[in-house]
Amino acid sequence: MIDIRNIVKLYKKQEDGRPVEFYALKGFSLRIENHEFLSIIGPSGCGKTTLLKMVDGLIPWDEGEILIDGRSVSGPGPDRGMVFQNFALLPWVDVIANVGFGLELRGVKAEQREAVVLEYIRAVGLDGFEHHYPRQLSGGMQQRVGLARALAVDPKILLLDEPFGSVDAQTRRLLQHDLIRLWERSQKTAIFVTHDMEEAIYLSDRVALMRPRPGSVQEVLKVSLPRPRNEEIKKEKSFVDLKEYLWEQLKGMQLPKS
Amino acid sequence: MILLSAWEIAGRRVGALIFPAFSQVLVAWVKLSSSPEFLKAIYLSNEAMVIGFLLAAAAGIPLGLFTGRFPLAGRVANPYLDIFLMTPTVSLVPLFIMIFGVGLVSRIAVVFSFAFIFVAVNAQAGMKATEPSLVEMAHSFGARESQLFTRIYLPSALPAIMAGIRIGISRAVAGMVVAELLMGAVGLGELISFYGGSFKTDYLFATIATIVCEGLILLHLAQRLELRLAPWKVSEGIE
Repeated sequence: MIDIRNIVKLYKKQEDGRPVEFYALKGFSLRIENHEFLSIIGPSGCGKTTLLKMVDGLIPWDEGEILIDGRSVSGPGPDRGMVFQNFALLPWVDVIANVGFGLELRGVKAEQREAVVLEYIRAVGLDGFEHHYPRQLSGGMQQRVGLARALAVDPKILLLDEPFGSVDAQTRRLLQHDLIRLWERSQKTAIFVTHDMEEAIYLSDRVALMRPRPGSVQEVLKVSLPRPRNEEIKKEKSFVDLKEYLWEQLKGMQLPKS
Repeated sequence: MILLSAWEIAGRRVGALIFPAFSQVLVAWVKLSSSPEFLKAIYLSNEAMVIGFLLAAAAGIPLGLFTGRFPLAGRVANPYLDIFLMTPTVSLVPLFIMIFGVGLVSRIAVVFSFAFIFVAVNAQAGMKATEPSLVEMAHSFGARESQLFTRIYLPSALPAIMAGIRIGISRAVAGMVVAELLMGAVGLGELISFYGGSFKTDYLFATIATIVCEGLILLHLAQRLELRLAPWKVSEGIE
């Protein structure tokens, strides 16, 4: 279980020449059960990516606690795997080396990681592209590499930071579909940050709605749709109602112009 | 071809004393290249150039990598690097003569001071330009400092390091000739001042052409090396 307790994050910035402090996050609390798929949704700038990177141990916070199975997070660890918004692939190596990067850092020898790496390349549908370089791949394929890289280290927790935010709508739906298949098979815990309401509902067991300035949880909604899911459920009344409800909430949260 | 034809025509009009035609330079070059003095001059010049350049690269690349990786080191070193960058290198030659006398060591010092700073600042710029999201990604997957360096920073900086090497080569060739002209009487620089002084302009041009050709060959080799080391991204820069 991931237990996020009362997180406070204070940022200092310059405004009109004098230092101004503002709360990026204040009193953020959330619990994520094992094997749960939870989305965090909120307007841009609400601190959802910051929070995800805190769970990964990349960003420090000022007050509060993040516990994973009772242990306090103090840095990145092998129990978590991250998928990045901008893919963050190494441009100087091919798909195989990119997918194997996490294992390589852990000292797994090339011969030993090959089987695992090829398995995940196949799982994300990139067989045939093993020796391509990132620049030779489309955005959607690059994120498949990012996903395979995170899965290859076999983390208990998958952290996804708006992973499909920069690909076109059709590719996005294909990626969502593939992600849901992979996740349903793996039963990993997943935290998925997005600003796309449909995506959040379609993928998740629960959706945490964030409000901005300071960032905190407004409401957690349960998605009681059966699994395995497919695109058909997007037409169901409960799906549409949930989406409408989310939209009503998000509409009122537009950031003040700054 | 167009350039060579224009050269030939211009040379025939202006006259061999000031501007010899291409064919005359070619004849002079063929004669030169069979003379033992000329070959000895090439060897002498290159001795200082190669040693000076290799020392500049051996010092400049690590310094650039270090000061680019650690912002504090960069802040300490950069004022000095800026001073070095702005100093007209030629003006250091009398200083080297005072310290090292006139000889191989002194010429190596001149070549070094011509090339070093460009190698260093390019390596530093390459380190600084490393994509922060890649560093973050490596952190996320548990990279240690040494792994960050070998797997993220170094490959990121490689195209810039190679650009620094290319500029460094051209500066080293310039330093080589400057040292020989100002310290007198060795290598290709000696031939340049001799042919210039005795108005053998065709031989002067042939000597200069030899230096240019050598420089171009070295640049080409550096580019080949860059293609092998960093095939994913060939930097644009001066050729």
